[in-house]
Amino acid sequence: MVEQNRPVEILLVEDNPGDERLTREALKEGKVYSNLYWVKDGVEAMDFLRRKGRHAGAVRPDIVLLDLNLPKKDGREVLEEIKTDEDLKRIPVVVLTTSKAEEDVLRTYNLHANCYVTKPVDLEKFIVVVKSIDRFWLTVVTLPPNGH
Amino acid sequence: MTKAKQAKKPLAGEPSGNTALDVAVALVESLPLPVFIKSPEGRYLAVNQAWEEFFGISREDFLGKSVADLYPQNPGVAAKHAAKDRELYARPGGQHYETPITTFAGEARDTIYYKATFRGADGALAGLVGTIVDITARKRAEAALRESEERFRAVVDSANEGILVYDRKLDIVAGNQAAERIIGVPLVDIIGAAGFTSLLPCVHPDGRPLEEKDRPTRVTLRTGKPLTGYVVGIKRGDGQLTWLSVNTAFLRRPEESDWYGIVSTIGDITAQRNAEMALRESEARFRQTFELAAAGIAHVVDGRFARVNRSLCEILGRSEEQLLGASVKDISHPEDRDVADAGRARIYSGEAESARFEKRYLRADGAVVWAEVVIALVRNAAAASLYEIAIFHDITERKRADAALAAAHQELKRSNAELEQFAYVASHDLQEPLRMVSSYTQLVLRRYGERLDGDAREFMNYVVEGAARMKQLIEDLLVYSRVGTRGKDFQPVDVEVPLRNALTNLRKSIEEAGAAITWDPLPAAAGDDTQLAQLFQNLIGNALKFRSTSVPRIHISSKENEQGWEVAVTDNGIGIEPQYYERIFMVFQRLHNKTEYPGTGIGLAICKKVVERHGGRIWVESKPGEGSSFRFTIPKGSRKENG
Repeated sequence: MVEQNRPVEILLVEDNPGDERLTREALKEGKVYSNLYWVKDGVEAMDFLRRKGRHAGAVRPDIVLLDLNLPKKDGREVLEEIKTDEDLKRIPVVVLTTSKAEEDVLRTYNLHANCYVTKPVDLEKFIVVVKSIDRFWLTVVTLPPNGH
Repeated sequence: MTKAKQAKKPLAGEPSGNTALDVAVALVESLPLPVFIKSPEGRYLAVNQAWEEFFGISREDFLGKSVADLYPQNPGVAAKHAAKDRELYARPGGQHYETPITTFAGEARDTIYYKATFRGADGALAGLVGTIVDITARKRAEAALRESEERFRAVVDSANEGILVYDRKLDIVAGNQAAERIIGVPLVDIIGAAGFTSLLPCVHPDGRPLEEKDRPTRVTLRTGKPLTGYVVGIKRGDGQLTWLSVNTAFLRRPEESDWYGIVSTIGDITAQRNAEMALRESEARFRQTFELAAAGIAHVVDGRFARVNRSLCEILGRSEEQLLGASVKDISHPEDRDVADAGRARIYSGEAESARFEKRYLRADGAVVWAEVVIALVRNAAAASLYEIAIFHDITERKRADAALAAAHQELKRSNAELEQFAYVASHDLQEPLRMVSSYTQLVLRRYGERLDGDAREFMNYVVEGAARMKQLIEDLLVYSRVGTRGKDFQPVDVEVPLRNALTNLRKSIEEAGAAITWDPLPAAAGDDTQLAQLFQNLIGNALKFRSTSVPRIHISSKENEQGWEVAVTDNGIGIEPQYYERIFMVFQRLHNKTEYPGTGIGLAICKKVVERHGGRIWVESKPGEGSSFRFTIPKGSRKENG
């Protein structure tokens, strides 16, 4: 296993505090070396990514965990903005869906999410998902740097 | 010429002194007939004044000369007279013959020469005396008559109409070629017949046989009046009924009051009569159609009803009296008054043959009636428009049904949208709290499990299990609700492709069960490949789940039937009791408890919905303990149409 020299910077876009906490706990349970930044809506997510307003000093996340149902600006719009932004489009986006059916609908929009993950009801499965995010990121960082 | 001088001259030289002769000479001289006396040698001895006038030269030019002397250029004239003279001398007495002559003024004359010999005192032939009767005028009249007759004959022969001439006995004495053609009997057989209607069976226009008293000539004779347009049908030898129009007239000689015959002219009017009959029939048919048609029919002139049928009166709720002359626009619904204008303009301009429109009219009682109307223009031969013909169908009921259908359709769309909204709520909003319940219970178990007693752990496990099952139910319901609304358009599908996809998804379960899955070559069908994969996945998944103790063997086969393909998924599992054959396809219907065979009871309901969406049906054939065969039908792929 490749040793990480820094934590994975994760931006979680999620309006449900229960899910935020659960993600945090799953990262902890999965022993993923990470920093989790949490924003509650799509507008704030874009501010964070573009380092605007109170997020002027935000880090560039290594990965975005994006919930679909968000206030103000929903996940689909956020995803579209990220993927059409020259600067942001290389950031991997994992779309969190509540059901498989929702994921099917989303795929038809052809938005180039890197990955779709249905939020499992089972905690164990969620920990597996979170760990796989860790592995996914490792795969990304072990690839030759592109653009940095 | 020199009448006065000649008049004094004697017939033959100087007075003879013989009183009797002188008297004769004076008599001859005064006769209006040209007279001559020739010697036996053929020399003119004397001519009278009438002779001089007839020939146009004086007697001195004749006397002592022969005919040959007088007509040196025309020896034939002399020869003829000489020959005649010889005949007369050979048989003395009288002689006459016709001959044309030419006078010295150059006039051609037809004449009769009357000649006689005379004897001298000695009793010997002394010469001949002759006179000329000028028959030129008579001859000319004869020729003119002949010519006129020939002309008339030509007219009669070339006439299109048959012409027959009857004598007083009403027998045919003459006929022309047209009569032969029209009657279809040779002229030789027509001549002498007692009327042409005696030759062949004849009928009246109404079909009654024509009796002898009804023959045109008899009727003419009986009434004493000429006939015009007397119609007779004649059954010709070739079996055809020919219709003839006969005119008759009495023949009378000038100045005679009594008639000597009858002439009849016969025209063949078969074609005309047939056309008339056809027209009359077609008119009758039209009138009947017009009156009895279920559709409303009107003739419209200048925007007003000119003719209406009973059905139209019923449709428009107005009497014929109310409609005739009424303006069509006046009884139209105010909003629809101009609906027909564009279409009408097109047919008047000749752009279109007819125009069709739907329009509301007002009945007399104020009720609104919807009609589908087709209008066309009736034009005469000169292409000038005569009137519009309009056909009305009452479509009020259809319109009402359409409106009801549209409302129902709208309602269905609304309720479907609601259902989708519900599905979305179910998929998302219901799952979020569920996830909280489940995840945090698990988190408690994970972190603090060791600090809980056995009961607490067991209870919390039930919470987790319940949440998991609820999630599955929700997911399945969502899939079920989406079969109809989220399906893809049908495409040609090689049925083996969705089958292989299903098997890939089921790989783990297949390996676990150690199942042997086989299939025959599968056909091409028209369908939604994702849904077909779901169908196979559910059916094969069931076959794996409801397996018996023996090694699962699952076989997929297909055969052609009338509707398309019948596909069977056959297993050697536990089988199903016949009383459950229907129930298993209903939502949430389960035959087993959850611990034995886990599941939500939606799988087969989804299968049914998928198959029905494909226009097929699904059923099961089974023997408990031996296995089941789930069969469904699917339409054939139309590879030609879809490329």
